[in-house]
Amino acid sequence: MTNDPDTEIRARKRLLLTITGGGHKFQAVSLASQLVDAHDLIVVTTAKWNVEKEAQKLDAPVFEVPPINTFSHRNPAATAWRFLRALKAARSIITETKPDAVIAVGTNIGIPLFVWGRLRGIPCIFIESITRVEHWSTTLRLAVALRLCDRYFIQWPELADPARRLEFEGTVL
Amino acid sequence: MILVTVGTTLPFDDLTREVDRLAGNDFFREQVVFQIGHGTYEPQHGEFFKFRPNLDGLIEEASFVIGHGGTGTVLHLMKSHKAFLCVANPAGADDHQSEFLEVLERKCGIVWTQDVRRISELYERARRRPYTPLEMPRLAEAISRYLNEV
Repeated sequence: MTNDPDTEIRARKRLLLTITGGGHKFQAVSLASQLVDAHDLIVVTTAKWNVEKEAQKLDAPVFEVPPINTFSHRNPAATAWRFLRALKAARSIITETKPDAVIAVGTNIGIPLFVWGRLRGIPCIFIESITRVEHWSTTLRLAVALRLCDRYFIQWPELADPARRLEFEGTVL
Repeated sequence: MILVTVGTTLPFDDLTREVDRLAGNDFFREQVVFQIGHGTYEPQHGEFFKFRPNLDGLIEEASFVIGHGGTGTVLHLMKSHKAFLCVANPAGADDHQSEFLEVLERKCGIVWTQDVRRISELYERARRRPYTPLEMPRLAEAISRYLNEV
């Protein structure tokens, strides 16, 4: 093990991690708690109030991106408009925080973050929700189709597909 | 104390109403506390509230939880090793949520249903906490390895 402080600093990465609501939140917080000792976390969410307590425990700054769609806003025009707003917010966040990697757990706000991450040469990781047992989410389909990420992890071995770069390496729990 | 939680996204009055009915018949023989979320039905046989910042304290205090099929709720209860029964909300239980509950039933033995009328039938079995933890490798290790390479 080296005592070179530069090596130690490089080993500790700045990770931009999405923590949104519901089941995605539980999974993301679980993952965050396992990464926080070795890395510095930056939280991106759709509702700051919903993650304040968790972000404080993680000692992580919180940034907000407008939600892209919700149960009450599922019409294509509204979704497109919200996506553009999210894209704009994501650009500001990536520019300001300069992360070493972008990680999204299940949530579609990963897409605008990945777009800017990809354009800036930042490694991007998408983790499919643990609830996806037999079928891909739309977010995963989009990320794979647009080749946005460097790694795609699914949380059930049954979904692993090396040909499509879907890897199973465990769960976030 | 029995805790009933319907989550924060969708109403689930059918669940609240059925548990309230059972509580009125003294089925549980314990106090029942209801988190009714966006629901409009107000229980007659237990304390209730719509939302709280978090339910950790109530979950810890509860001897049993009856929850909707929300992933966060289910995973939290499993991690807490709490005795629970899940009732999938038909309004929100799209295919992938029910698939997930089916897999957890198969791999871990959780007790769940899509029919609120089965609560009384499944309660005793769920009370015994028949499920086992979900044993899988930790993805965080693979992510850290990858981050060390880039």
